[in-house]
Amino acid sequence: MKEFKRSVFIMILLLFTIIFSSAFYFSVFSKTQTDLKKETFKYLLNEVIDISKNIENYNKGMGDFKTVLKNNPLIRTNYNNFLNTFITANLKNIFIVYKDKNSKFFKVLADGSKNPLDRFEFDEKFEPRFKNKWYEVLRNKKPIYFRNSIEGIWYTFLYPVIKDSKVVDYIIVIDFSTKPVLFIEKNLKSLRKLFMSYVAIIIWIIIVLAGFIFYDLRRENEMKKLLKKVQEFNLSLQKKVNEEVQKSREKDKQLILQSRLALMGELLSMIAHQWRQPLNVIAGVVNNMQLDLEFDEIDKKKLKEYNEKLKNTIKYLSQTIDDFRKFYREDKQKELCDVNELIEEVVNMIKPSINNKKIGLKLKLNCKKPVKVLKNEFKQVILNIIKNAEDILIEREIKNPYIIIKTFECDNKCVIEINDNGGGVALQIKDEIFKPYFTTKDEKNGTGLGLYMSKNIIEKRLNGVLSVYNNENGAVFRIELEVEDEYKRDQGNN
Amino acid sequence: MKKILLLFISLGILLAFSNEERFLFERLFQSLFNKKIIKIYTNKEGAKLIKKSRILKIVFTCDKADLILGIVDINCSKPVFVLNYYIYKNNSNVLGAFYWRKGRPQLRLRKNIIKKYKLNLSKDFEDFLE
Ligand SMILES: Nc1ncnc2c1ncn2[C@@H]1O[C@H](COP(=O)(O)OP(=O)(O)O)[C@@H](O)[C@H]1O
Ligand SMILES: [Mg+2]
Repeated sequence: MKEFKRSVFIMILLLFTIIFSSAFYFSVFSKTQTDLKKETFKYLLNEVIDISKNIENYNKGMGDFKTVLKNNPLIRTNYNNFLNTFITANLKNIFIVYKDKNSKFFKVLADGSKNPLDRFEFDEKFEPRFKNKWYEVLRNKKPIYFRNSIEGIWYTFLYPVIKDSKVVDYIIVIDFSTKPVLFIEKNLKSLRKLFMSYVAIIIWIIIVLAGFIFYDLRRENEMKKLLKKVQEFNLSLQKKVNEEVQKSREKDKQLILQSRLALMGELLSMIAHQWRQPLNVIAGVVNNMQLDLEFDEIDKKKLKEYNEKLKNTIKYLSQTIDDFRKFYREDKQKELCDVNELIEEVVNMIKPSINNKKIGLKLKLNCKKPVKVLKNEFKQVILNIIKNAEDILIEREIKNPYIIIKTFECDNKCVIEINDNGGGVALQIKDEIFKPYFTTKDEKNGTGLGLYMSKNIIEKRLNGVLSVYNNENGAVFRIELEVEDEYKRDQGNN
Repeated sequence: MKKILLLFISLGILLAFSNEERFLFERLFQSLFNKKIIKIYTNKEGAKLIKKSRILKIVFTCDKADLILGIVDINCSKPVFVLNYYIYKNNSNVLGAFYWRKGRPQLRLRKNIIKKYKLNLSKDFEDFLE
């Protein structure tokens, strides 16, 4: 904007300079023009005056001019011829007139004109135009000139010749043309036109230039604005992307929790299985205590024994409750854990229900390196996979069903493989099972979210890999997790 | 005097335009004959000058005319006004003349002829009497 103002200022300055300088030149030009006209006119006039003086001098040499002419027709003719020699294109008429005091007419003494139709006779009466000018000459005895016709080309010059320095003897009249002045004027006019058009062109150029600059600046400004907009847009886009990423993360979290809740029902049945045994124990102890009381066989030692048993059992119960509760807690951050321990915790939770279903469970936990995971989410994955295996084994009514869970180290990774003998995943759906809402089970039993969430948790949140393949017995779900850096080094040292 | 000068300046200016001679003739002849309409017997040259006039009517017989304008080959006792200096000069019975000299209009009137025909002349034209 600053730039814009400056250039506009410069343009206006330039324009004004040109206008003012043109006005100045123009006035100088006009002055020279009028001066030139005046000078040229003066030059013409001087010529006419000189001629008149020459004629006067010549006439003086003739003696008493009027009487000589009056008396001698031959001299008259010669004299007319003499006057004729002065006539040029610019000196149209030369003639000599006088006026007697008592006569009311001017009379002509001599006329240089060659044209017989337009030539005054000697002593012919003459009625001048602009009579007052002529009388003025008689009165003032001074030469005078005035414009003769309306066109203004012809001027009349009156030159009085004075007799005895008292009265005007006669007047030499010369009609002269100011054509040279007009000629000069014409040329000057065309020059002026040229000058004007030159100025006009310059002003026009400046205006066009100003227009261009204006346009250019405006375009630049618009571009700047656009750039700013793009930048703003980029910023807002970044913000939006961030927001969306955040949102999808939130959604993922939500989904994880949701799917975890979906496990609730199954977990409740697990709890029921888990609690059946200890509750039986408690019931048995309470029963024994009652019997002992009835038969009055209670003593301190026995009571202590019962107490101990009850305490342990209740502790176990509360332990399992804690385990389940923990599972529903959202993970705050990744922790360094022993994978085997986590798996054992899951197995502990699930074991009673699996046992109940007569499914064999074998653990071969050999991964000794710790990994950094979100505990509950990891457990959720394991639980999911085990539950799926269990579902398949039940669904397909496999004889001697079992699940094998292995952990081992491979290339600085901790690998967890969960294998069942349920016959594996059908090849057609192998690519589908990790997609959300894909399930082969009926509505009551399957949501289709389990494996999708598991893959999400392992790959997006724990930076691991979850894959599936079939072996001769059934499906193998394989989880690979990066071993923590420091422990990698340890291994390298070993 | 001033009035006359003014008249002549205006006349001069008017005469600078062609066909303003007609205007002069109208005024002059109206003054001479003291009539609204003057019948004129004329030649080609004169007809050219006055043919557009509403005051100066061209007639084709000398008997009906008030005035003869220019030279005509007819014996007629009407006053004659000519358009040439030399004719005016050489014929003393001519009433008057109008002609140009060096772009300057010239008017001449003879007093004795005006008297002879018992014509009157307004003061505006007295300057041209001789
Ligand atoms: N161990 C397995 N053996 C064979 N098929 C399996 C196994 N685990 C999962 N599947 C298949 O993968 C599908 C998707 O599993 P999942 O995502 O957990 O959803 P859901 O358990 O609700 O059906 C299951 O419906 C099942 O057909
Ligand atoms: Mg499932």
